Amino acid sequence: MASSAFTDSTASTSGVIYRQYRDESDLPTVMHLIDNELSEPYTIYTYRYFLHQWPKLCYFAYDGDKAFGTVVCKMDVHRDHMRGYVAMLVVDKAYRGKGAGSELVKMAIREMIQNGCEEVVLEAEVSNTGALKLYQALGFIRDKRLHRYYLNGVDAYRLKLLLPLTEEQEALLRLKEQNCVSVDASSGSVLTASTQIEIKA
Amino acid sequence: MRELNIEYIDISPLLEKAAAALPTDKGTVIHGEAFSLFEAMSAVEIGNPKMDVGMLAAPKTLDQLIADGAAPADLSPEQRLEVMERLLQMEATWQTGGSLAQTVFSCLYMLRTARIAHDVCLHAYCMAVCRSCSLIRYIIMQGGVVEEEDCNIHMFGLPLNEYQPAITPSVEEVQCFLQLETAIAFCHTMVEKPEKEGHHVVWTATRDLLSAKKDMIKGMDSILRRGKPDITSALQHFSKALSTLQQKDGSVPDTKMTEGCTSTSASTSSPLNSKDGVQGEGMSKASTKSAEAAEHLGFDDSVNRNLVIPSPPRAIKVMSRLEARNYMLSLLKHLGQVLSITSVTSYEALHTFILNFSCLKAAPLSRSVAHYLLLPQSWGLPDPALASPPAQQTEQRDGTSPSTTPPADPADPADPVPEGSISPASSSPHPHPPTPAAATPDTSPSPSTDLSGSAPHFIVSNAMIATSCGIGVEEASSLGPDVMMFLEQSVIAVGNWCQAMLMNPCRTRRRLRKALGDWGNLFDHAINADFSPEFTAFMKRTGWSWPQETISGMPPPGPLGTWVERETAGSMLQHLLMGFQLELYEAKEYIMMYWYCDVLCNCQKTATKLLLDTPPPPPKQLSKAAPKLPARKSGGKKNGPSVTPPPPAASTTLQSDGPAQLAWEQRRLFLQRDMLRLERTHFMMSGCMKAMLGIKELGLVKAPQPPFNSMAQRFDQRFAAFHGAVVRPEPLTYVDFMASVDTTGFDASKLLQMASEAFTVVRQIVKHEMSSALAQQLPVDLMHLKDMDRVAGQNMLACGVLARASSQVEGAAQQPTMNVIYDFTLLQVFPALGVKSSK
Repeated sequence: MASSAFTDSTASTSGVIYRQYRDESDLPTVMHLIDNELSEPYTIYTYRYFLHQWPKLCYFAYDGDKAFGTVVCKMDVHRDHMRGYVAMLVVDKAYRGKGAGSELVKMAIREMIQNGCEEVVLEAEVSNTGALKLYQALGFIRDKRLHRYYLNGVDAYRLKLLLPLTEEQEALLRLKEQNCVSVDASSGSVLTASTQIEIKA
Repeated sequence: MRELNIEYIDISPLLEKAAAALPTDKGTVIHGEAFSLFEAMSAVEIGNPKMDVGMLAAPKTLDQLIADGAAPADLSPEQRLEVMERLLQMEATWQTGGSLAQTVFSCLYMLRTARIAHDVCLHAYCMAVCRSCSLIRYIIMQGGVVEEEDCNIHMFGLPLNEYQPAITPSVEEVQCFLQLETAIAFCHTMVEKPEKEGHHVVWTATRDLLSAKKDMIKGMDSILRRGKPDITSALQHFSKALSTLQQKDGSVPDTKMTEGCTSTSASTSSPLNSKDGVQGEGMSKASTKSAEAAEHLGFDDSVNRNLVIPSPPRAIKVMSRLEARNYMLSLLKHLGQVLSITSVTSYEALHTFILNFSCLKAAPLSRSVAHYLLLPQSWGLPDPALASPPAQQTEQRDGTSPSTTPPADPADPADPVPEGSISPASSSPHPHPPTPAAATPDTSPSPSTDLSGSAPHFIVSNAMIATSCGIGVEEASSLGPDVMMFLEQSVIAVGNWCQAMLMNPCRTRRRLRKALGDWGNLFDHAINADFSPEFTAFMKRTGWSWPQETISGMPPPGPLGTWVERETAGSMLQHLLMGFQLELYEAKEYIMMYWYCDVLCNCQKTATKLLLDTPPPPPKQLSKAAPKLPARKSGGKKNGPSVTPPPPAASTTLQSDGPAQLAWEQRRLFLQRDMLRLERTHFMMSGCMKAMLGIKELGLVKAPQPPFNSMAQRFDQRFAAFHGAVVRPEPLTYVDFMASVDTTGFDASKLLQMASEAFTVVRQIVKHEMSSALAQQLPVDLMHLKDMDRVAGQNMLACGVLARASSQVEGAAQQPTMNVIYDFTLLQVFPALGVKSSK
């Protein structure tokens, strides 16, 4: 869903303070920053959907007492994997190009990793070169292209960041694979070719 | 307030009361578990003009607009033509993504046709546009390859009837054509009258629009003829419409040709950008609707505001007149190409046909027609996915139409699980006998089981697959249940592949990936069939010898497994290559992408060679006349690659008398030709990979280490989908990749030299293909080959420049001051390398 607004900037971001979302008193700040910068219109329901369930995945960048950037994310189970999702990322035009957006996303991803995410995804307009560069520098790849994804008719890229598995996740994955094999064998659904040949021979 | 039987009620007090009853905690509203992201995104803030369509402009009802003179009933010839031309623009805009309510039915005349019953021409045209929209909607729904993002077919609240297929013409159809005939005759009379103030031009243009519309509708009617589409008739009508519109190009008064156009660039996905030869300098211009609507007599973009769903409205860019004209010409040309499917007589020809057509990036309508014609149901035959007997078969191919498919989850717009998936092969501990009863093939006639050839020969059938696998049509039905099961499942897999290839490119790539599970299952079915007693007895009986060398201790797949492996590798390769077309890969990923592509290409080549070198015994009559397979020339490095010589000219090889012989020979010719294509592609991929390795060695690819993952994870992201989906070709790992591209002992100069040698070989193969009689019979291929030659030539030069630069900086611990440019303009999947100084 998210667009990201990034272009050139000349403003200084020295002395930037980053902090996590606290409560709904921060909601107007999020809405103000995003409504000003992104083309897609979001309702109060959309903001609340994210911020009520995943407040720890929202961060702000402040210059003194002025909020100039924010990131809004979520994470949930997707096909047996915990997947993080960067929904919205905005940095005020005057503060762009200094790495604040990248820092906001990194903070959110670190939080996702701590909570067991195995991958992170997001969408960005194909023409938003600033955002694409930012995410690609963080290791995201362009996983898919989504035809006429945005209301303005522009295509989107689905960007994906596969995270290395922790030892615990790897062990769990192995267990899942074993279970999967036994389930398949008992339900009689899939046999590999090599198994079949062996039996036939 | 009353209007059109709608009663508006002020619900403010109700809302205030409800709001007061809510708990004071902020965020309470969203506590419901069912309130997903989709619901949150779909919710509308009433009164916010960004998302509430009701706030877009001051409302005026249709009656008010008419009363204000927005659509006068009496029009001058020029005004009438203007309205008709504008309608054409709206139709084109609708067919490429706009909603009906905001495009075609923003025409006030379309909303109330009775008002203009006295205007023979405009009334007939409006009624014809109505019928055309109904037909297109129906074709798109039946075609099953178009999604909401391609073409919006919602018609709620609009004065448009659902098309009802019938054996005899409906009253509406008859009336439509009568009115069109009358209107065309009237225009003709006016054209015949003495010239008066340029009216000849206007009446001629009006007549041409009416004629083109009539032929367009007749063409679609012919396609939809129940039970037996009349391709010949459709082709005649589309050709006539094309000819009429082309004539009109030179005759139309273009006083407003560029009126209303803004400098907004057209979408890159515009069909007009395709390589179809459509020209026009206004092509890249599009007009924004809001700016233009007020200037067009009889149109108002807000008149149907109440019918548009209350979610944030999609922006509509109305095509300019020239764009619309070019779109229609392009559409008619593509429809003509679709109808040439009747020349397809084999699986190989169908595969080539679909691949070539998908390259055209055709509009939703022509893609839908293509798939509609490939569906057995369109010909009054049962759906093979439904006729297929396997117990696990739970879904049917094309089970849902776009109109009934709910919008995708905005957070995950990927396709649902493809319909009509292949059922897994039986995993009985006794894999052969006994075959599950449920899997016993149905013997009732259907395209999948009918081997007699009663279905149109271009529809995927058991017979088509059997022939491609080298089994005679007659033998196939007697080869036991495993072979029949394999053939039936193959029909589904190939049908799904055709459907995937006819979707928009973004969807195509995703569908190809999702369908890999089908190919994986099909391989199991193929192995079951290959080793079935009936098939092994058949091979023995006919003297069809097959290599028995074990691979990793396992017997190799037989002819059917090899056929599946070849097709699977092709599908995986297409999936990867489409990533280049969709600009999904970064330069730093090119090495691993071309490496994997090359592996798959080699796999396809190996399977093709096996099928070619170990053919089924020729049918009896042919064995005397058929020329022997030409021997493979072995070539050393100096002489370039081993290139299979061109097959004898078709005229000399296809002298066999009888369909079996002909099919046998066609299969052989195809495999020979495909070997050349695969060799060329392999060397191109190999060249690109080596060039990228050299460029990387030179330090000209920026690949900073990202903070959260490494190349290993990115490799997995690109290719993880292959693991678990397919068995053959065997999915490869990051370790395989690293071992394969270990450049220890090779400096940049050497790698670039190797790349250059590979590009040289590409050029040799291209030259060989171009000079062969076979290539000269395929003009489209010839154009592609020329492009390939140019790119390979340019890449040789670039490698030379880079190699020289490499030797200059050698030992100086520095990198060349130059940038490498990757230009995918000529060949969408292979870059033409450019070198530019970065000083």
